Amino acid sequence: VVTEVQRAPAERRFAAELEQLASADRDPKPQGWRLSPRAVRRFILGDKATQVSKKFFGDDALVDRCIVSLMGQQGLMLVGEPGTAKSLLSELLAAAISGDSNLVVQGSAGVIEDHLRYGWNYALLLAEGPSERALVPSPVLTGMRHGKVVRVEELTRCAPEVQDAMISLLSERTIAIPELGPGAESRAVPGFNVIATANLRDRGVHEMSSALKRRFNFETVRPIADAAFERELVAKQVAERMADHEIKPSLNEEVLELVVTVFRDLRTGVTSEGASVAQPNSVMSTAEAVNVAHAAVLDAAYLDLGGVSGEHIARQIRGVVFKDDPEDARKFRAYLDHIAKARAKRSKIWSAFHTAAKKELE
Amino acid sequence: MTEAHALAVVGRSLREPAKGLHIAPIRHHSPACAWAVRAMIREVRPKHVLVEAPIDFAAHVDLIAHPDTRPPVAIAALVEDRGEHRVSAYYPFCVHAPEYVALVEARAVGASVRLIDLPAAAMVKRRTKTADAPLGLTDEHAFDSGDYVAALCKRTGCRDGFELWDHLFETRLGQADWRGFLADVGVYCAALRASTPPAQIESDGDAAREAHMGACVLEALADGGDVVVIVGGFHVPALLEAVRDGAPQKPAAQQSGETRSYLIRYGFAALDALSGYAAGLPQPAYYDFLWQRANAPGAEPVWRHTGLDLVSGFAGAMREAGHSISVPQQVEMLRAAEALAILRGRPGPMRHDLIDAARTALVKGELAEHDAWTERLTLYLRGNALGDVPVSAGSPPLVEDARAAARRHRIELGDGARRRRRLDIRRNKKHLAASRYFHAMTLLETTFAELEVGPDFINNVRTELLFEEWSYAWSPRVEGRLIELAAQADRVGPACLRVLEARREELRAGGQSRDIAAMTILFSRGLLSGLGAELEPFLRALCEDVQAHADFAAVAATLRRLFYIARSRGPLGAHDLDVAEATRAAYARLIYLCDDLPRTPADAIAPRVEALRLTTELLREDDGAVLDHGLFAEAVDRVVEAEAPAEIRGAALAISVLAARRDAGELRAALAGQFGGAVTREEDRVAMLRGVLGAAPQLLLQSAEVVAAVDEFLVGLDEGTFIEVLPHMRLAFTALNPREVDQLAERLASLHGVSAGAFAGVHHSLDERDLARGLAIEQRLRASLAADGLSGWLGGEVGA
Repeated sequence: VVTEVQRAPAERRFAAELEQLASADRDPKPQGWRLSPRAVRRFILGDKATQVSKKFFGDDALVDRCIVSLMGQQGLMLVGEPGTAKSLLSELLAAAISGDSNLVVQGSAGVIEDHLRYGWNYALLLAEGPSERALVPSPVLTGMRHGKVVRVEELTRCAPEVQDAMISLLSERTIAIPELGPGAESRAVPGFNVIATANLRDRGVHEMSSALKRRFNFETVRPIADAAFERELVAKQVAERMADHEIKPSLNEEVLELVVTVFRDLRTGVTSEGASVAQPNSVMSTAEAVNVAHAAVLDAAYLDLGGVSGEHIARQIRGVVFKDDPEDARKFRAYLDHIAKARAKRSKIWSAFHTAAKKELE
Repeated sequence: MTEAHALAVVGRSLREPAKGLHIAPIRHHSPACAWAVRAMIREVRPKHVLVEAPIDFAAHVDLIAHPDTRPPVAIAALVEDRGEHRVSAYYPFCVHAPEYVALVEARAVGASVRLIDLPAAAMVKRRTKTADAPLGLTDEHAFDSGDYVAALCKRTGCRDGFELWDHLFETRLGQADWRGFLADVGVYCAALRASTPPAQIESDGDAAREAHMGACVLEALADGGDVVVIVGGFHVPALLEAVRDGAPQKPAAQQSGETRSYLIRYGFAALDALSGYAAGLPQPAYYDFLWQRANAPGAEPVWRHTGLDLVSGFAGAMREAGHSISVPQQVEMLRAAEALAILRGRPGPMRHDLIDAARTALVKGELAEHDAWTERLTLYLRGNALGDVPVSAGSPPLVEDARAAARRHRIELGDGARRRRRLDIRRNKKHLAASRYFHAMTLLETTFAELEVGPDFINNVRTELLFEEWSYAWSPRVEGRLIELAAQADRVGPACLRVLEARREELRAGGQSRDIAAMTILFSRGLLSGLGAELEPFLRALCEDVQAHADFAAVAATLRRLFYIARSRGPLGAHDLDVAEATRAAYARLIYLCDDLPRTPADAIAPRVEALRLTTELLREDDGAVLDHGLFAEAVDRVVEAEAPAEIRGAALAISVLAARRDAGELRAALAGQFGGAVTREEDRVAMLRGVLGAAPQLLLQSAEVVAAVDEFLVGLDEGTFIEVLPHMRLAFTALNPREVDQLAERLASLHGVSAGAFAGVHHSLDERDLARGLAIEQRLRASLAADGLSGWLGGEVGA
């Protein structure tokens, strides 16, 4: 039997920490919560005293506001650019508050109202008629029944009429099931709430109605502002991903600096020296930086059998980030010609990066 | 001794009752510190209260503690700089400032008050950056930056030094244990200092101040009795050292004579640390609210309804301002604020909890860089309150006069909020008086008022408007500027005169003594400010300058301005001044300068032709015959007779013809002479026409003779000359408006028996260069064909 999975849910990955926090938790808990709000905060932002790791980097006050929102009657809506760890934050919150981050509706154009309410096991439905046994509850219905936090990812990718189904769910906090008889309904028990994530600027998303907006408290998750912080985060996440591999090439400070600098320059449109840079359309998030660094490590370890250099980063950045937008390739070339080239004169690693990246572009 | 131990020692050594020493380390404008300081003074009942403030402000101590003083107030120090006294530093006091509380309480317990910091001038001069903005004497950057603050922020989850301070100390407002509180502030500040590089302390010039303060403390201790010292926490370790080491240095000799200071009204807007003016804690209205709450009768706990009252107050203010907050949003904001406070372990919502709550509850959508709700709440928590000083504060008469005048004109000065006022300046005398006051305050550069909509008499723009709309706000800057001017005058009117005189002197010193245009503008501004008869000397000086002026166009412009002022019965009116006389003087000078017109240099021709036209129009408007029209006509005649440049002569002739003093035939002959004369450049042929059109464009429509002359000229031109002259003709005709151009075209066409419409129907997307190029090409082509004997190909029309 294979027991390994690629990615366990947060409550499994951090089971020990959650256990420890729960046992030491003396603060008052809202009804239906596994942990007190302070313990939830410690779980997400880390706690030196109890050696709980920091899992979400960036804006601490944002995490406070999210926790406080979830204690109330409003849903929580996380918005922001792609790759700003919105989903991670929502998973961590659900895991800490409900001990379960698996009640997820993945928003897409194919989502219909049944995915938010309930469906039927049609074999049973035909055989027995409508019954509790034949009912297939949606994650939302399950969350309501058991008082858990439900996650709706990419809500704005759902059609507007499907989004609007959320309005009554959030304000009435009940789902009527008329098939089971008159008056049959499932009322939400304490502990139920919704965390939605949405991207307001991407292509192919739908506008949110203002009625729906009123039911949510909005929080904007921003890219990490502090460069040193971002380096630390990339290093940590790459190390986590490499934990299961037998060979362990290290990502040295210089390479880390290179990756994070390139991503920050292109993301913010301005270098640390103040030179302006044309921003590509591709997502230059921290998560993508981790992907690039990770791929570069694998490349170096398995194919070159050596350490990671600027060359590996250059080779990966093209495939991972600048997938197939010719306009972006132009912008990246301009970045190489004007920014990277100047740095290449002073630094060996930038020089390797510059040479290899130019070659990749040809 | 470990570092932690050393810090703890600071906490313990603050009070040495045996010696009579009681140090209260504070942060400026902190209500929690004020609370502890008051408890300390009430309990210790000291003989002396020493406050960290410039020693030369001592004269204001009684005034600050005066019952009629309503903070926020500030001491404004005018330090001499390049021979001028400028407001160089402010020392603000708000009602929740520990220093203010100390002064009031010292008075209550009968303690003597001593100020122990270096004189203001010494502090201003030590300032390293040479900035023009006045120095805030209560700046405290140590609390906002540094490794210690950053590390503590990280540990407590606070985002900056302000939140950290609130979290650690303001939450303790209203608690009885002042000893524990002050000891903690002492330790905190000692740690701040320990993590500050000594070089920075040195460069800030703190050492000299601390030596001075230490000496003052020793001196007070030597006097016997208990001594309470109110001093910025950052200085405490140095002060303790100085006291321990003894050896009182005599305080530095008091520098006097170069600083003047006044107690002035101050405002929350200026007090806000974030305004970068005179810092302390940001958003003073919030701390003021906390202080009032702590002092409320009934001893209700400070934090019980703080969130509720602040959120309700904010929502109410927003509704009034037209930014609606629905009740569910308001409830959510309050819930979030309270919950955040609990989550963060605070007794009630602090500033950042409220701001976070507003973001959570009010912002729908992605948070922008400058979010409107955050900014509105920030402004609400900042407040607009303005303090007041007692009559005996001896604020300069000019300030009092300006305020009294404002009250007379029903202008609201109660707080620092920006207001609007609409004035019916032409029909309502009271409104006109208010307008004059606003203009005067603007002339004084007080930044008090700004004209947003209204007639601009200075530049003659939209003078037909009946109303003026002003926005205004009384601020410490207004008061500061008035204090600067106070030495020169004690009423607004004379101050305006001084400013006008100073400006005139500046113009003269700048070698622009003959800039009569600028002088006339100054004169107009003086009139708008209601100076009236007081401008007599100024007007006389202006007349003298006009009499000595040598430029025709400048004198004409000034004449025109004076003429309109003399006729004006509106806001620009000057009944008490003989502007008509000045106008006549300017006119006389203009007539005199007419005889210079024949010698006009090339670059002055265009403005002078324009000036001739304007003067002609002016005389046509002068139905009251203020000016002797005959003089100008004669002068123009003399120009015609003289050997003037073609344009000037054309202009003079045209004016003469227009006045029916000459026959149009004469002008036609002159034009024809110029058109057909021997010229070095083809464009010169048009010069006289240019002058005619510049001075009297209507002549071309009125006089058949002139039209005929132009027509003859055009018909007689060969192609090459036509192309060359064309742009200059076009330029000359720009003096006509489109309607006149149409009329002229119709007349010219009718001379040739066609209709102008026949030409007008065709439109090309070609510009004049294309046309010129096309004509040139055609010409070359024709020449080439003719040279090859192929003219017949052209249909015989040319070859014939």
